[in-house]
Amino acid sequence: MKITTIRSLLSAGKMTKLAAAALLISTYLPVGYANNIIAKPEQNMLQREALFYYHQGEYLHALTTLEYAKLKGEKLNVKTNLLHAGLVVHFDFNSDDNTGKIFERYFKQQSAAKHLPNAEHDYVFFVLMQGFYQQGNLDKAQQAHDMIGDHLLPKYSDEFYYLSGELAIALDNDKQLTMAKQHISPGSIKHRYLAFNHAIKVLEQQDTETALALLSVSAVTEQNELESLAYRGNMSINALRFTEQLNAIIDRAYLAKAYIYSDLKDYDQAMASFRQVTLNSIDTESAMLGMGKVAYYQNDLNSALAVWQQLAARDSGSSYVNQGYMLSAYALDRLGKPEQAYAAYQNALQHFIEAKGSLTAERARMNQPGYLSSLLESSSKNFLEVGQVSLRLPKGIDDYAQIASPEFQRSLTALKQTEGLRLQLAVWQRQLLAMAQRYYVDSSITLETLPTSEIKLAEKLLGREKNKLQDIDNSLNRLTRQLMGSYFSEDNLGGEQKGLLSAYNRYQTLEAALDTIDVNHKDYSLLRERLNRVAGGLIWHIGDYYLTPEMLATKNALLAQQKYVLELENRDGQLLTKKLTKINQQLEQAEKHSQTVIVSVTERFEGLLVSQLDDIEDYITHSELAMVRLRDSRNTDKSAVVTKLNEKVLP
Amino acid sequence: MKFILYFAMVAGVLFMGAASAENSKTLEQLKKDTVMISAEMAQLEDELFHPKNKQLALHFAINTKLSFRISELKVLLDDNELIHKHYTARQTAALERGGVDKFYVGSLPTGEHKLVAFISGTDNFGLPVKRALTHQFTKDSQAYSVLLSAEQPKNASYAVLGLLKL
Repeated sequence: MKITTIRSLLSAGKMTKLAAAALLISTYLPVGYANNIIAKPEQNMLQREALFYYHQGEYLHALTTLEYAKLKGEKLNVKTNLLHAGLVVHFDFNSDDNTGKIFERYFKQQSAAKHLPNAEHDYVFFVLMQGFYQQGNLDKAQQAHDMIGDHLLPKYSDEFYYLSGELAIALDNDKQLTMAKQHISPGSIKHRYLAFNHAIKVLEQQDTETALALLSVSAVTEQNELESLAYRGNMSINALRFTEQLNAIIDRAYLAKAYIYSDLKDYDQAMASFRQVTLNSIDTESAMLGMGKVAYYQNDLNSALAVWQQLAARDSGSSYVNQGYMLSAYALDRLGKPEQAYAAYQNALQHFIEAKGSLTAERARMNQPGYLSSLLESSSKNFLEVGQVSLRLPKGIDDYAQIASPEFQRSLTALKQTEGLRLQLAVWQRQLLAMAQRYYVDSSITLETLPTSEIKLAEKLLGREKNKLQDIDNSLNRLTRQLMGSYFSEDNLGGEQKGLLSAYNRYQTLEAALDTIDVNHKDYSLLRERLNRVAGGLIWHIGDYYLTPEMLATKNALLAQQKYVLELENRDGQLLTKKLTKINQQLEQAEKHSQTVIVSVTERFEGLLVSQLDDIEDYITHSELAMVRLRDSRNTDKSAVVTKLNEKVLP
Repeated sequence: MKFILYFAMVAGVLFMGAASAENSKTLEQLKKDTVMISAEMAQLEDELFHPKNKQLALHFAINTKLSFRISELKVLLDDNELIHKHYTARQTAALERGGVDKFYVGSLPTGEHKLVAFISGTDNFGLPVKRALTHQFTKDSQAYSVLLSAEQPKNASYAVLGLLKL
């Protein structure tokens, strides 16, 4: 990219002056005052700043600071290089193998990583382990896991052993799983999560007995039971406090137990477990449906009816509630109450027609711009850390299995990250505009006008700063002329200053000669200026020691201003425009990608809606057929259509 | 068993590792480039608004083991309060682990200046500790950057406040 600096816009004459100024600066480096501070160049300050953010868990800030350190030419050291790679893994953009290679190196050259203090070393690999685990790169996560020694701070212990356990479950490592379970405090919710996920794993292997035992661990509600789970006597166990998260896992564990018992046809135990699920949890409706079914299996149709009616009365529009409508009507039919069954089917039909209407309307809304984004919960920490992705489901749309599937969730995460990138880039656009207005001291600049006006704005700014430089220069020259005489009359350096005195004599000769020239002469100003510079040079040679505080301050101000003017002259005259262009291009790409992700997620979402609509259609057909059948008391419809529908709906 | 398998899928999402971002090269590249833009924005802001000739940068670090836990930092510049900062436990821990807090960056005219720093915290025994430091300096055409730090002198069990010109 061609850089248009202000320097390149200057004429050759101006360049000569600039070269002279540069020479002046390099010749007269400030001496500085006596100071009790010993100046030691401190290396890697930006990297240490990054550490400050890293250890607070502000990973994006840490990563950005490390990138900034690299831009400023800091060479990342062993530790920060490793942190950098870990952060790249954490934010999931390492598929270019570069980071993978860095890790291979660290995994192999353990000695390099061992230069870190033990606690640091373990923490770094713990963060890596988390990053790889979140990416689903289990082998790498296990490698990072194996690099962690015994020095991880206790506050990370539960999280470490939880992930260790999860890895063990995924990789079938029984020894590691046992170790993990033994080390997580039973008071930690992670202890319950691990037991739950282990239960699901053994359930896949048809080991219902172990699964039930593990689920009981997840569902513990008594302090003494909790304490009995401690592997070591000295394990500290917090007092049981029923938080929303804790209640959720307990409910889920009871629900799972209930369905396992139901599968095992142990209906009493199933019913007892269903009853443990609280009334206002995400699993309540599933439990109610299950309770009704268990009662039905036990031939207790009245109890089944009562539960299903309660379920149908709930205002959630979930698939459980839909089934509640159908099953209540069915139960009334089975109980020999055709009129009530007819009314129940009619009620169900009305409910399904309304549900169909709202689903159809929702499907139509899906094609409107911003539809999906409007459903996403905004809980991002920043543009990369999207946290738990959640979707505000419109009423009537409910398919937890699909929505909770990892595939769907990954799509949502991608959508949310892309949205996050878009929003961040838009924020930077506005920040850049604010920076341009502040830097060029012009509030009328807009994003549209910046590209065409920046060179002129930069020239104007340079002009202003040059005028300031000239003003300071004039002040200094004025002071110099005033003080020249007194300096040399009071000079006590004797012979050592002979050279300077000779120069001063020549200066005086020149002054005298200049005095003979008419001030209106065409060369007078130029000669005056040159002579002032000679005087300035002489003064600087004498050294700061002889300067008055006013002169020293003016001298420093001049040097500082000269330096700034030089900086401005060398600065790209379209610096902000180019940055803006980069942001705009990135924004364009983010929007393009966002569209791709939106199309993909919308398709999934639409598929989900269509599937739900199909179910509703089936329920409508079934209700209508049932109503026809009930209207005609002689009708005993055994047609294939009705049989198929019965199979679909009935327990 | 059909329900249980469905159930397992739900539980997997709720309680296993967070779902990773879509493994899309485009998204990864976008993220990578955006992080670079973020760093460049920080650089741009520094370059435009804190040029070297005017810059004053103040940092804080802790170089003691256990003799001092900072809770507050106050800095006066030329007798005016420049910054008064309270440290959270998390920030203190980050400092103790080698982090440096760049707590101020701004502009300062050339000339003579006086900086007074106060730190408050607790010692090993939880007793309150206050330390102060006065630093007179001349701001010339270079950036003026200092590192204030809680230091533990050799063979001493107390902390002092030190200053290093960077």
